[in-house]
Amino acid sequence: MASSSTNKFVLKSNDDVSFEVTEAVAREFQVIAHIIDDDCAKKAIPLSNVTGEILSKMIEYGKKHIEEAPVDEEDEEGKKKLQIWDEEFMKQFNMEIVFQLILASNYLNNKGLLDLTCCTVADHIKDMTPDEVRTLFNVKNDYTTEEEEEIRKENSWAFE
Amino acid sequence: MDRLSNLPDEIICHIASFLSAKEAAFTTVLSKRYLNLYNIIPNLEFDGSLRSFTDFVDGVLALPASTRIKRCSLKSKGNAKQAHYAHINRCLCDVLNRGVLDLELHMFVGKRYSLPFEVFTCKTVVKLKLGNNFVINALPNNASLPALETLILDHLRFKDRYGCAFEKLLSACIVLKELTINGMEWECWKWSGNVSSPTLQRLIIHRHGDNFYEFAVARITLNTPSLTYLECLDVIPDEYPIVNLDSLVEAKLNLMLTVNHIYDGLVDDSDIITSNPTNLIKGLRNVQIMNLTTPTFQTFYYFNEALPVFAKLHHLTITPLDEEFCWQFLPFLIKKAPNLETLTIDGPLHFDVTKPRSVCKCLFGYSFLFSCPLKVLHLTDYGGTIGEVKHLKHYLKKLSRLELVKLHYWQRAHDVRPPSLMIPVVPSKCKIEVTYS
Repeated sequence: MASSSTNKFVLKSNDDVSFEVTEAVAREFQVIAHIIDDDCAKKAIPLSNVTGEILSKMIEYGKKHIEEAPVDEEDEEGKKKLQIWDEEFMKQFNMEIVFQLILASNYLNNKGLLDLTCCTVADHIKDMTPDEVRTLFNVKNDYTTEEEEEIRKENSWAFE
Repeated sequence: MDRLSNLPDEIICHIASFLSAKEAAFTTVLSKRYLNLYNIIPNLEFDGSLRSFTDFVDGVLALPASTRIKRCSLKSKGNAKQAHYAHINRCLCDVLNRGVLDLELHMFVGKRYSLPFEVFTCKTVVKLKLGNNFVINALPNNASLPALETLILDHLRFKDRYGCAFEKLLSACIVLKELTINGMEWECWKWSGNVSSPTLQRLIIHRHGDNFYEFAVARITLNTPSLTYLECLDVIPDEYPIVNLDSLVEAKLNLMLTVNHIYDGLVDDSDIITSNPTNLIKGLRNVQIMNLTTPTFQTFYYFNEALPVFAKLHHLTITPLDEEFCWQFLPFLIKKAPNLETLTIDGPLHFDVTKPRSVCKCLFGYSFLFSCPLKVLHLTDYGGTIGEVKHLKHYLKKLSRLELVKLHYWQRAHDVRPPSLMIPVVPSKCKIEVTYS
């Protein structure tokens, strides 16, 4: 049996872009790992919920985390290096892409990338007023003025 | 497109698990959907027998990851044993991941207990209270408490073999405003003696118990340029090499002197004093409100040459222990306080109770009052005895700018009703107020 570093798989996005990746990178995504384990990965693996643009970024993330994986739990320096890379990696995206990455990493089940992308959104929300959050994320306010006032009153400690 | 709301509930909850309790509360007003999506626990408290602590911790750990906790307090009267340490730390780590703003650990743990490093890297905690009776002997290299404003250390010791854990902790708190050290025992710490913070506004140091400590040669630096309030009940070290209290407004001082590096209560004239508060006293020069207790009377007297001109001092409170103890410091201090407006004597006046009419030589016949611009004199413990009336007359006669005399009488247990108090006649331009309680 070929080792996971030489064994190749092809991932195919919903807009028909194909990416050849090593088995190790493919296994970074739990859903694909299951497909491989179930021996259903004969040909290209079609991913119906992910565009080529997003998939290429996810593969970039997966590759980096395989190549630069910290040696062990104690490898503080390795962890730190990867963390800095993660931060830089996220800086290139606008919020629209971040949301697509969240959905895709949730769908393909990569916990690291899901945490990273969700944390990026959380960091954006920090230090913003609810109105600013609504504007940035296009959240429709369905409270009446009275209802909103009531909620604000209940959480007045946070609005001080 | 409503981008945030397009996400499934579980992902919104996952995003929430990266928010502090405060930020999570903010999101509840975004729209109705966010109101019941995740829980914010306002106050999670354990205060009971350690027998039930494991169940409590299991309950906390079983909460959904998106549940935020605003305040968490772990207290127990019992002594925590080694078997509890892992539970305490598991609970702390879990709560620290739930966006906690206010965290209190008040458990009696043994010397072998050590805090989890996560305590020192929490991004959300605003108020942190740590105790009791354990040692902080190391901090992680990435220690950072970027939101911490209030830090309360209760009967803790710092002992770091590789540096100063206390100094590292202070420099990890970049927005610290208030630091309280209860049960200060710096002589048992292994530290640099450096209390340094550019942001600190309130510093409260309280030593508990006050007898027979033996001190190694020690130097304490107070580099706190933003400090506005200093409350210090402590033994004075050999030196304060650097004191920066440029913003100080109010000081409450109970400063105790050592003799041959031992603290054993008040000092005699023949004693060899090993404490040196010179730089601290000089550093107080901008203070506006000052409160001094009996040990500080001695400190200010023996080191009266260090007294700066207190140009901004307008309210002085002195709290004498009894009638007998000398006020030698007062003439020196009053001369250095050219703008003093209010003097509060929070205790008895100073005179010999067996000869109540005579004035102690430490007061030089109250001559120092002639130059004092005092407007308000406040006696909080006035009993109306002959001695008090006699001595109060000295103040009334010599303080030419006095506008108000406030006398407070507190009813003793054996009094049936407030007596008709003996009160001296006051000059016509001066008002007198008598209150009872």
